[in-house]
Amino acid sequence: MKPATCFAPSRFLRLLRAQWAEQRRAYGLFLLVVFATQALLMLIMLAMEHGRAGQTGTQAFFFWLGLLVSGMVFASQYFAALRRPESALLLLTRPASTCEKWLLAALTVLVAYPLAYTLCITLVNAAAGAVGYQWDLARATELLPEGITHSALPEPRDYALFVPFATYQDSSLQAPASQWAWLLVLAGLSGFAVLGSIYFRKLAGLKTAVVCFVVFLLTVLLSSTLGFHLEHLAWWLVLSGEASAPSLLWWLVNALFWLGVPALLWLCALLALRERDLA
Amino acid sequence: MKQRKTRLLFLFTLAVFWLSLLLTRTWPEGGRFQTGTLAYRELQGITALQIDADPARIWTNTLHIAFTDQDAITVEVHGQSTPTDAHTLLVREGDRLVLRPSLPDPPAGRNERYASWRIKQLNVPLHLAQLVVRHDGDLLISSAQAMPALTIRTQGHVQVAHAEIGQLHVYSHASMRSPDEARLAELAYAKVDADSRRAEASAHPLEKLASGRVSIASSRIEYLHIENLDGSIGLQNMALLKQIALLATPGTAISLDRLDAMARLQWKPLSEAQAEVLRQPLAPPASATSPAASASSAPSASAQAPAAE
Repeated sequence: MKPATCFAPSRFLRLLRAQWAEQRRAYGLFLLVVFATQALLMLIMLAMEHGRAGQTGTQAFFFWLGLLVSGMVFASQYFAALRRPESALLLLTRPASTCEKWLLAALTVLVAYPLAYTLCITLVNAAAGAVGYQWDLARATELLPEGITHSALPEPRDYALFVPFATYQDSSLQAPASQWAWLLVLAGLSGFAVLGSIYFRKLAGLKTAVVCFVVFLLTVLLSSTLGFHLEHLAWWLVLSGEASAPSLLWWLVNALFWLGVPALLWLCALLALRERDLA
Repeated sequence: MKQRKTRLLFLFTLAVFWLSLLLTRTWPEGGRFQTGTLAYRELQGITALQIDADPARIWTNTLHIAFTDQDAITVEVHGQSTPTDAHTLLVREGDRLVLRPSLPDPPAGRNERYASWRIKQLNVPLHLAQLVVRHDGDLLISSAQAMPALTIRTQGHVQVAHAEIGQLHVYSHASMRSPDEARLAELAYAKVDADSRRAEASAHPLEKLASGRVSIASSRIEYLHIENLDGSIGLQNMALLKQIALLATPGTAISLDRLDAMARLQWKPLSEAQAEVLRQPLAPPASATSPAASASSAPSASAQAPAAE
């Protein structure tokens, strides 16, 4: 394929504009649902933990959990139009190359969505941190007997707003380097979801989930029989100076697992889209 | 079209995924860490071992202390860069040897409790039968040989496994825990309805919220003596114990894992003098090796003659 037929900036921009015009409402609605779900979940946790769920550690946990789950769902919905013959025809005959469609999907799923999600969830986390601190403070003040002073009261720094890749004093929070691993997990899982949504023509979500589960079971089986040493995949410990890399092969294995597999899954998605296009 | 190429590439991706996992077996499990054993031999005149080290920084979840027939204390360490000299970990203070490692400042961006190594196990000679643990980390005690007596003063939980001890004395300083940790114990109140919780909380001092646990497994202990100040104490695996003496304030809650232990359990209220000893901080100042300081770490009068009853 010639470069011009594979990717043309002006055509890509037109595709981008068309996609935005068509899908912005759906994307906005999806984000609203994620926002509402996360806010509701946080509210329940705050009520159960008497405000302590507003601590930075809990904010971080729900942030990454929400990003992985909603990122997968978002990715599986990106090519939802392919499941209906009439809309599939429209999508496949759109004046853009397969490569451009795939690139736009990758940018939307891996860059635009995580950024939009972060903005949304930061609002939830900011509110949870502020409310949680006041709730915990009020409860601790009520419980403390007379004579015990502020040393037993909650610390405002424990309720600081969680911002990805920021450094915190709390030892339970992940170091910024290790948070990159979550983004790579998201890249792999969303690539798998996009692949499934293109490859399967009917019940794509269900079939993708089944394949994912089967792969998971096989991996667990292999792990229990062969015994993988998973701690050797923690490349972030080397970057943060907590461990040393044994050899070049060690880096190669980490690159294969963390970069190679997500990249190959996205490549599979590209190939599946091209084969659907040709079909 | 059957999307054959996609299937093939997906199978190749799966193979890469499993191959990268398989290749992690190239390096040994935990191979990124060094392990080492450091010995401290100058034990002349030492009668007690005190542990000051911050459990969150250099312990794993539970510190295993193994009593063995040897003439040195050996510290088993593992981590990225482990210490090389036991004298940087253990400090002599009169008749006590204190585990107080001198640690470098954590690297930039790490929290203050960061350390690049951990203590796996402490092997202690049999004659050092007095343990003082300043922090609230859990202890696992074992002994390869029979010990006539062992005294433990601690703020944390004690688990005894694979040991033959004539008399085990546990002085629970759980009530000396910091208010922060006492706050954690508030969770226990979360199950009570709001009104009764408020009444409880205002009626008792913070010490009421503390708790301790003594667990004994596959060990032969003839006599167990526990002094506990308020809070609650849990006794587990008491079947082999012949006699249990519990000195605690009437407000102490106790849980037993078997009813027949009640017949062997003798409770006496803690006297004010004994309570005062328990209220004292576990670790004396660095220079405090005077008889008074030693007395505070020694078993109380009631514990000296356990079999009299």
